[in-house]
Amino acid sequence: MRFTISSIEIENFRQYKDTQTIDFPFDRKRNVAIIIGKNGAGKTNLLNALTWCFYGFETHTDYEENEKMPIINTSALSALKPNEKTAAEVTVFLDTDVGGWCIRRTISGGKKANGEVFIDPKTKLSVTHPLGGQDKVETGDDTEVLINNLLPNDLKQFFFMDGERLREFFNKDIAQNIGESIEKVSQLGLMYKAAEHFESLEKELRKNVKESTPKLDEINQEIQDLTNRMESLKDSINKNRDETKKNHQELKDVKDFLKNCGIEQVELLENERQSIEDAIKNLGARHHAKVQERNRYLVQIAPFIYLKQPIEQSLSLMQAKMAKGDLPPKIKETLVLELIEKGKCICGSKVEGETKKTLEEYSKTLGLSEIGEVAIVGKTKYKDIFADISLFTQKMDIFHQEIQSFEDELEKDRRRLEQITDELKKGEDKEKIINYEKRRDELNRFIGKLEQQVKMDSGELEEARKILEEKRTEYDKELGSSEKNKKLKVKLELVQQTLRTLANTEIAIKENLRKQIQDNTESNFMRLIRKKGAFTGVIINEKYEVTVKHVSGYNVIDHLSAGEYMILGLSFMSALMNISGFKAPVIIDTPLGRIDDEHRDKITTELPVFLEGTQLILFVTPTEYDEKVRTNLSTFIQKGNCYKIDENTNQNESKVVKNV
Amino acid sequence: MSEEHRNEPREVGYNKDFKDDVYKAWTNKESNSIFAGLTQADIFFFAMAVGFNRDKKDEVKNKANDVPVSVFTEAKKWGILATSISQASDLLVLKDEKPIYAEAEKYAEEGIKIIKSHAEKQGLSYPKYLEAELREILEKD
Repeated sequence: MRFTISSIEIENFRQYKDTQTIDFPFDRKRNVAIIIGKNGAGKTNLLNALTWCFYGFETHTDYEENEKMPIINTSALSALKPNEKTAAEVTVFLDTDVGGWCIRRTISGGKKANGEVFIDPKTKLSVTHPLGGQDKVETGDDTEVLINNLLPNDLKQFFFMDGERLREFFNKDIAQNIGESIEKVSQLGLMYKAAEHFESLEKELRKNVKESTPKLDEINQEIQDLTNRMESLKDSINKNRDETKKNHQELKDVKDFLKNCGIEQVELLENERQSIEDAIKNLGARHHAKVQERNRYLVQIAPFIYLKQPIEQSLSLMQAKMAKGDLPPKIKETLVLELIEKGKCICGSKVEGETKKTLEEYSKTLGLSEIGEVAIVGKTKYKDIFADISLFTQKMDIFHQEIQSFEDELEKDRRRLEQITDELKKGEDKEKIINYEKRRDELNRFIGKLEQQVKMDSGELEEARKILEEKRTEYDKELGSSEKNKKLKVKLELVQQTLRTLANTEIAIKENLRKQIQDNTESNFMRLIRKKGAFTGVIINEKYEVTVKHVSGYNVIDHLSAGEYMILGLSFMSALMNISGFKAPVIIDTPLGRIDDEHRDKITTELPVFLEGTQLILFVTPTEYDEKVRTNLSTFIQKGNCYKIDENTNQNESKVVKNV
Repeated sequence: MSEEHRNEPREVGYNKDFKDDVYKAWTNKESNSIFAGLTQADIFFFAMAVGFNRDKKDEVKNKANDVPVSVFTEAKKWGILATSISQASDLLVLKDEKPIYAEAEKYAEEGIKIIKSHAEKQGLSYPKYLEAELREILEKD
């Protein structure tokens, strides 16, 4: 579905006291809205207001602050008398293809009789949307489903972007979630529903067996047990995946806290740790690639070494034949045999008597003539093979050196990581840091364990699927032996054929989607990037892990500049919109903060055109919104679509006002 | 006179059970197997060479003709042909290559079992074991 934000209403949300409304008029070509605010004035909290309203949590906030500060405006809470209540509320009004939507989330709080402040742990969410010509208000479990259909949680980072956290866009940990979300927005769910329908139809059909046998009952029971086991495995996989996702989110928060905790030494060490972890990932991948290259070489050369003796003997035989003059053959055997058979030479003389006898004797020595040329090819090949074998020891030694060098570097990095952990535990505010470090270790362990469990369950599920297929074939064979069940067998075969077709179609659609998103991302990236000659392409694998190929052949995803990351993120997001057909507004906090001048110019002149028809809301600092940027964007901003955030004198409350 | 092989078969086959069971796991790109990312033809040739080296062969049971001979490189084809040339000590075996490939299938049948047992026994150290064995063969000469 396509949607744009027509208005946001915020009430008592963090530093925004009372009710404030921001309208966003939208035009296909004048698609940009600007909100200017100094650092700390509340730009990020406006983005938080949106994610909180949609998904119930703030993704763009400081971990520590999140723990301390209530979402409800603190002045509004302080002004309450005992037993009085108040609330923070964010309402987002949307324009969609099918009419207006309204999403509202509220959190209550107040003062108890003793004056102690309390915050209701639960938020209330309501979604009003047009249905059957009327506005329908949803407040139950379906609200989250509705919002996820509008913009899946796992894709939100590509639409509600934090310019300061660009590097997290293509983190491998979240790649899988992206893949799952793309399937959701691409309506693959319809296929799954169809498959579910046919699976239950199959179950029903099996109940209609006219004449059962002990064998049929036995197989049926086995099928039932397998199906139940598969269901339980699927549940376990989904549960563990959800749990992994949550742990990844918390791990990210812990890392963010350490990176921005205000203690210089900790921040430095955490940043160093992050780059070492990235380097380890990179080295690990290169080490793995080198090991695979060595393995491929071993498997290719090994058979020739095993066959060295017969090859040597064959070559000697060929060389002996050559020395004797049998190779290459001078006369073809068939020519001589034809001459004897016809009894006449091309010159007209008859072949008979002594001549014929001599030729017959000679023909016996010409057995090799028919294979002469091919044998000579063989001789050359055998020489090449020996040349390859002679390099074996040398090549293997080089492989060992290269692999060892990767392992040494990895070991060095791992040791440094251990040192960093020790140093972090010794520094300032060590109690707190130790707690975060402990949590970090725990989360890494949990994630490892959960991923292992998912891997094991997936393996068992795959195995169970194979056995189930065999059991079904066995069952159908047994079913066919009874005349009364023949009709049922035909129906079952049809259902099974349909299920197979659906499964194959699903694979084809997924592959097609991935390919289209890859091609689209690549073409967008190559169009927008400044250093066009430096990159050869973008690869998105079946797990939605993104690789950016440098001309040198290396994957440079971990080494892109902030501007290049921004462009990659935008290219991917645009590809998602093109392929899946849904269109959401793009909101970027501090889009130009870390971007160099050239990319800044490119983004502000080309992005609004590139995203024509897509609403683009930019939260910028006055420094980012300099004269050049203002001039570049002026043609894309509608009158009245530029706001600024004013702070009160104490700088603890903010108001969004029109920037005239 | 031609450089074409004489009566070369279109395909060679190997045990279907192996294909369904082991082949997919071995060649899976994500796996740690020494054969990760390789093809059936690579494994067939490797297995044939191992079987021949150990002088072990057996009739192929439950055969699946799945490896087109055209995918073998000329070097691999000549590796297979060498087994027969050396055994017969006669180049005339090249006049009909079909029986040579039929024998190769038998060596591959046993070779696969040997590789499987080695891979299971050695685990991740299998490449190391294989390298040591190859060095030993070369040193013997």
